[in-house]
Amino acid sequence: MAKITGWAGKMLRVNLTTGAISTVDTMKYKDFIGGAGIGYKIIFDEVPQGTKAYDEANKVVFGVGPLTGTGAPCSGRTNITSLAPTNPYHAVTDSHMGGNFGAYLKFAGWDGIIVEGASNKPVWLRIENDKVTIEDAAHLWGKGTVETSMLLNEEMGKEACIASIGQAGENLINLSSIVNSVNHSAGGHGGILGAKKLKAIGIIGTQAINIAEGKGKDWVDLNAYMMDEIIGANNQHVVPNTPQPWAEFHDSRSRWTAQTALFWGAAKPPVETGECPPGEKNKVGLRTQKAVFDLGPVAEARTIKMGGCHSCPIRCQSNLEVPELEKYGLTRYAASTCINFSSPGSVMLKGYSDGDPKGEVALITKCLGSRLADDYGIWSNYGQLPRDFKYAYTTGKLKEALPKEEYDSIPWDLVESGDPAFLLEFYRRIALKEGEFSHLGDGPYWLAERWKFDEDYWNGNSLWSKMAYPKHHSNESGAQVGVLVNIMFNRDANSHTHQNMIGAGLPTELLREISGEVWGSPDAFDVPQNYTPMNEYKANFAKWSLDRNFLHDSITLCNWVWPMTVSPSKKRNYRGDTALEAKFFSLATGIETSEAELDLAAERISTLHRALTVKNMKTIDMRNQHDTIPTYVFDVDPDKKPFTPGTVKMDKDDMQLALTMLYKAYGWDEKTGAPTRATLEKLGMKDVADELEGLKLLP
Amino acid sequence: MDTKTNTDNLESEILEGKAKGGVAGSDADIEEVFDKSAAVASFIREQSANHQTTNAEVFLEAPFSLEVEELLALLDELKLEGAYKDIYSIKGEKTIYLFSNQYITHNYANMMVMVEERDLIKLVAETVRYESKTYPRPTDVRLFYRNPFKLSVDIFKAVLKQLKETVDYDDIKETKASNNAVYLYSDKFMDRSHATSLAEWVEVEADQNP
Ligand code: SF4
Repeated sequence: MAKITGWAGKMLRVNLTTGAISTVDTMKYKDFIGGAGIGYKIIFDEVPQGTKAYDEANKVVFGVGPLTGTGAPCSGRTNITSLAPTNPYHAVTDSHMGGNFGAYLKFAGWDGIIVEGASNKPVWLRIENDKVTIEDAAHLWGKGTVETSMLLNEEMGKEACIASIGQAGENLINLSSIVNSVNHSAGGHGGILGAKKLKAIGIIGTQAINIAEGKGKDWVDLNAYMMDEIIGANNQHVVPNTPQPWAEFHDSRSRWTAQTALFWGAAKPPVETGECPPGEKNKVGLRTQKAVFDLGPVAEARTIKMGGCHSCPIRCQSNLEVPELEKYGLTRYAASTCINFSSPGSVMLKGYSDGDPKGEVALITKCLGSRLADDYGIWSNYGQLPRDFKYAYTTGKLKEALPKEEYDSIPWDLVESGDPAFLLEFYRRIALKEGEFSHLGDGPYWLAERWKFDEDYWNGNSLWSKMAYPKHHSNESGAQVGVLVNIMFNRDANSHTHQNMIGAGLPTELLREISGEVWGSPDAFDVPQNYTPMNEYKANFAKWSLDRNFLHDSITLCNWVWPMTVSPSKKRNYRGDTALEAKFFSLATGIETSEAELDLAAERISTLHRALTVKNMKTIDMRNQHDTIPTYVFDVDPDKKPFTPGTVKMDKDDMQLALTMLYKAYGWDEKTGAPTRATLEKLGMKDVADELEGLKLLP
Repeated sequence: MDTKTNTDNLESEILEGKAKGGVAGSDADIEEVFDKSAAVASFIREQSANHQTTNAEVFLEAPFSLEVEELLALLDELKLEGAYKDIYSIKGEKTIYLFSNQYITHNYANMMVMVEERDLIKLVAETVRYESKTYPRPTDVRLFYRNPFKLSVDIFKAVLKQLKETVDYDDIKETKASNNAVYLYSDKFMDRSHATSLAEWVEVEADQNP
């Protein structure tokens, strides 16, 4: 048999009820690539219909893919698949974490960990290459993720990577996360590990990951080509955010913040990002000074460096020195990115004490909140948690729901004065399940039922659907394309494929030209905030965005950067290279695979996700039961009409047509949006079709 | 970089170029044209590498000391020579500016020339028109406080006031996001409602949708 390369070749199965540890052959799942794809297949095959997230029968699949740990740019992501406690149907979701966990899992010789059953006492899983043991975790239970990591690193050595849950996961808070290396968090499945009493997983891996025989030079060349010509900054933004001599274009929203006289100011000595034009591959890591992007100019002097995930040259995680955190009992160091910074800021309902949303107090607040959330292991549900808090507070529902004594015990004066110390109360009460307040951590669906929110709650607050998730790059991002991306998942759409293209920073006409080459017509791409009626090319764009997202979560690559639809290279006329995933996959696995073939595998994964959702929800009526669109999308801007400049107000009939076109593009039933037998069989999933037929869930 | 160093380099390159010509033993007239072209291109590239455009008038002075006609002919010649295809010119009000696109893009050079010419009203108006037409997007006025414009807030305010009173630029309009950030757009290329919604997206909504 040919040597397996890319993949490690085996996965770990750990049964916490029996203590049995066994090995599963990865290669029988290779059509599903890895990560999310394999996760869906295992959940589909092995978790009975009707299982709830915290049931013993639920399983958690930690999955990586054939590129994880190989050194391919931005390949350090881990995908976690399980049923979601926030979802009203407990339908399947993924959570994603970066850091080093995924690469270390591969170095230890594993493509994934299937966690099943439930322990009756706290345990942690110790992996040192092939040596895997279930250890007692009594001494870790009740501790935050930071202390858990420290204690396990003392036991295993500092070369171990530790992922753990905090108190929120232990207490079965629905909005809880799994966190590795202090700040790399995956949202939504922490409580499931809590239910299984699995506190942590520690990994030491010392083995090589092989790529295909004799392909070393090709690999190095491909890597150099990508680094020189194709890669941009975070979110594959390909123009700088200020005018620069080398750059033809610029865009103030670009995450390519590097410029002359911008520093990592707390580095010793300070490091100037300077200008980082394409072709200078050793400067790629300086392009994204994300601290100033996320927190404003005040963050520059506090930036120690930009951190990130294994083998990522982009490095979007700001590492900061914030001595003020010591006042709150934390260390002076903070690390985070994006929503993990902005979400705690939104908890401060009355703003900051200095009134400046980009000032010092805001920075301290956001750093404090992000550290507390990651330590307790609380997930913000893409910023929905503070919006729910705001809704409950401003409508008086919170006061109604909480016993008076509890309500009065909350230090509202800290909210009024904009004092960051309020966050200590906010996160602790949720994570430690203190009183009624902690139900904010149930997630929107269960919270709305429990606290009797009015129907208007669902038609605002950035919520997307009763699937209990918020919008995430929806109609404001590519109009129908963004909506179609947002209806697909059972959590917020963590898909950045379309958004990265829209936000790349290039002139619209250029982006339309490139869209024509990728999706069949420039009409796939609208001028932002001035969109046109639905067409088949937009359906192609939406489907491609979804498929690449599923592919990235399976192979694994970071969808906050990939795919490479555009590039910063003027000499390429800003064309990217959408075949790069297939090129790296071919070199890693030795299985020569074209872009179209890999896209077909991605389509298989998307369709399996859909089939699993049908199974979880016990209905084929995806169009009406799952793919719902909030009414505010159609009601926004009352004085404007759809398809006119200056609005992303959508048209109801047009969006139903958009759903039909997307279903058609996937070969799903155009009436219901459920996968058909013919499509499942075409994609090699006859067994899935048979199972759905047995459940009377085939259209 | 100061001009003296440039000139020193230039002199040595002229000498070097002649020496090479001598070795090749070619016709003296052709050799001289070649040398001057090389020297002029080299000077422009050096300036561009230091992020400066070159005012063509510099070549009328020592050490180049070209006559106007000679300079114009030479610049025409540069356009035709493959070796100098990186050298571009932009016509200003009173002079010509030159740059190498190895170091400065055309768009950036345009901005630099407008700054150089100190016609600040035109600078703001043309920049806004370019952005409204090209991207299309309204222009965040903070752009003018940055490189290569670097206007002070007071100067910008004065320029904007005058711009609003200039008939030639009556297509330039102002809009505000809900956080009061000021954006300009040209209504030749953008609808007001479109400009306002894009400004709102950049200023307010994008931050809420990271
Ligand atoms: S871009 Fe950020 S999240 Fe993605 S791999 Fe790099 S560091 Fe990790």
